[in-house]
Amino acid sequence: MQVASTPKRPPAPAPAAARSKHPSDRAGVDLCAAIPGLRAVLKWRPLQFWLMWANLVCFAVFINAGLFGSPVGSHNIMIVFVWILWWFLLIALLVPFLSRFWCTMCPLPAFGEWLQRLRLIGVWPGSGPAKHRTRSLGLSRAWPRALQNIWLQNGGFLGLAVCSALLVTRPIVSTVVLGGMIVLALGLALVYRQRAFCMYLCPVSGFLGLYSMTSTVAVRVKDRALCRGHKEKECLLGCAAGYGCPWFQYVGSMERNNYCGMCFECFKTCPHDNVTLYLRPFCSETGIKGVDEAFKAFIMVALALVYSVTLLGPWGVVKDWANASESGHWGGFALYALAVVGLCLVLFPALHLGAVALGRRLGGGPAVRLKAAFVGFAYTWVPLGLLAWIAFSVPLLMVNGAYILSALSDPMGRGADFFGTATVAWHPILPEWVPLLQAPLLLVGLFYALSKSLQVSRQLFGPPARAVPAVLPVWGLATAVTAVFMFFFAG
Amino acid sequence: MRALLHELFAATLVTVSLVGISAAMQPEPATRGMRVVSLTGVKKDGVFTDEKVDGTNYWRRSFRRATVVLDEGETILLRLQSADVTHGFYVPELGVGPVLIEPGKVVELELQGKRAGLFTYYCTAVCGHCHYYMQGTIRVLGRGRKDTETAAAVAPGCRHGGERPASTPRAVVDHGQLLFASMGCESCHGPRGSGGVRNYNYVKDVVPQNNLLAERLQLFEPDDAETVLALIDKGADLAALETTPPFKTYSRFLAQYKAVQDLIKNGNRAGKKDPAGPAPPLSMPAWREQLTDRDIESLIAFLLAQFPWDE
Repeated sequence: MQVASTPKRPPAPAPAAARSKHPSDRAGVDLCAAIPGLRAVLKWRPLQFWLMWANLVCFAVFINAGLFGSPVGSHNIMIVFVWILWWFLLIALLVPFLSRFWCTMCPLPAFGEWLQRLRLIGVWPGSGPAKHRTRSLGLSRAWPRALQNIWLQNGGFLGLAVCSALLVTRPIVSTVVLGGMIVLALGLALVYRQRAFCMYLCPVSGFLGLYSMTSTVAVRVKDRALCRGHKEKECLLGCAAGYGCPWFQYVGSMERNNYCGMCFECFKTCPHDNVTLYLRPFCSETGIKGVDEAFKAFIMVALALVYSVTLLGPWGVVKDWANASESGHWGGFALYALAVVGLCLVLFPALHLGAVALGRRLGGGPAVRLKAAFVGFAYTWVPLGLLAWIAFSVPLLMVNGAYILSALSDPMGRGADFFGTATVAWHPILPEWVPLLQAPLLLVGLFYALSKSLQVSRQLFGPPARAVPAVLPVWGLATAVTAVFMFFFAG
Repeated sequence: MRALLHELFAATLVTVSLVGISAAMQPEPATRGMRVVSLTGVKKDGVFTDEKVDGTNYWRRSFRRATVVLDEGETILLRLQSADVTHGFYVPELGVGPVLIEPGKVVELELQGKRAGLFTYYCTAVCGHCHYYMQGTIRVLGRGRKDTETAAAVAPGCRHGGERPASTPRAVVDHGQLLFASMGCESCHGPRGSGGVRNYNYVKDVVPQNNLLAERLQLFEPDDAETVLALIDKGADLAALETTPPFKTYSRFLAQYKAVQDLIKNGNRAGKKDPAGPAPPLSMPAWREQLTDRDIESLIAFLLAQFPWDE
């Protein structure tokens, strides 16, 4: 077995400020410069292992509880921790403030990656040409070109969402789905290169990527010119200090957070310490690329609406249809599924298309291609969708949060009391505050949706005289959608 | 070499944590030196079962009703759990319960076989469509006897969502028959209202049979009963017939009919035989929230059609 050794580093180039007219072409604060020790932590090879291991331990508890614990969701840690606590932390804290930091520690691809590398911590160095600076087990095939997009993630997330009444109430269903994802990730790791599962299949990864565009942190290089002039490209191809980007990204030209899994391998491989972590304003990125990403934005907003109707609305019959396995209304479920898929893939995109087409006409812009406007304006739904999801998740935590304490002491729902909190009776936490929190969150989402869509419009249509009329229909649609959310949340 | 040690340590840590967690999450509870009988309430089947119920099997199969067997004088530890919703547990004849069993909680009760015989346990929390079937047997064996008999079913299995009963010439009777089975009426009133289910410390000892409802409604001739059935089938308002009442005792029938409707709507607590004794486990529930007026008429029609005129 070969052991990784630290390579001899090339001499450090001149500082970026000395070679560039602009000392930094990145907006934001360099956290590695501002926080002593942060770079060392991010470069520490075992960091990702320990984070994954901690989550794997939690995951093992959840899987065991799902298999052998109480079938009652509210008394099983699988449901309570995954769909109440984890979901809230993910959507309300991790994504907006730490981008895809969840992907750093996600246990789902752990076994696949460890097997692929035949290492849990270290690097399996290669001895061949430049393309083989590190080795991996398995066939190492390229992911099919036709599937190099997020359509599979869109479909997977939509499918899970349609069945979410089952998923979030029955521990065994959650166990099968999450366990299945581990097996799938493991299998794909042995056939395809690097993190193919995370990049193209994981249903969670799809929306994490989209919403991480809003995040206040980003992994970027300090000096692009330095990367352009550096031919070794260790960040892409790997070296003895680390692997080439498992997410197939070239950090030297990376502009968006979408596909950066924050594994920090590029921190370890860059011989010039040119990669860093930036703190930046919320919603700094506005560029959606591709119809698949646009549809992800539509699906997320539409699903937030669907859940608001199903879970927060007063229509018992919709709940019965959504939860057909309990109610037996399979005909109703088929109708529900059709309505959800239709809303996400047809109605909502059609409304967006209508608004964009009208805006394009108002902006007098046949020069702007309809597809470009359709995709570009889809960013409107990113901040609005994220804030709507956060607003939707607030009552999840405040109303069902008491279950967290009881599940902590009695993870299986079998009468244990490890920390003396098993007998904490269910009680909502300040339920009267829920709409008072939701309404401002939605308004923040609307504010960013309006301001960022105007920014997109100016990029597409140019001067305000054209950009403002062009964005008006999209503004109208965003305001109407916010009003619908407001009706369900605070009405 | 150091890197290799790191890898070995990491691999061991992962393996030990995963195996250890799996093992630690299968605890063996204390038995207090007694034989332990674990019963789990299952709403969907209307049973307390002694089979293991967990996430792997709850949704895909039915569970058998548990019969608890113990020797006279023996004390066992009953460990009661719920697989789904809040259930109750009550053995009035042995002075056990009633207790509520909330999901996620384990209720432990000591059950002493005070005397030989067959005793019935009941769920006392209305837990779903099959609640009224949620009864079972506790068999206390006399000294030296072995458990060779099969316990008679106290209540038939819950047929909610099961096969439809055979149809009759009248739609209203068919509907009543379906409701009688699906709402669990037969679990207390017996198949087709034949009665006979024991109700401990109830003034009449057993739940009244209601296939003799025609008599109570003052319908002493088959033709009179047939006339009433035809009227109910047509949906006529029996209290406001435009034509002459169809038979002589019609006004008395009407008063009784109204009383029976009210009883089904509002329920009735079973009276105690021994005022100092425990409450009878079975009482008539109020159905006004579950059944419409037409449903109640259908049930009455079904029971009227059960009268054994030939006898």
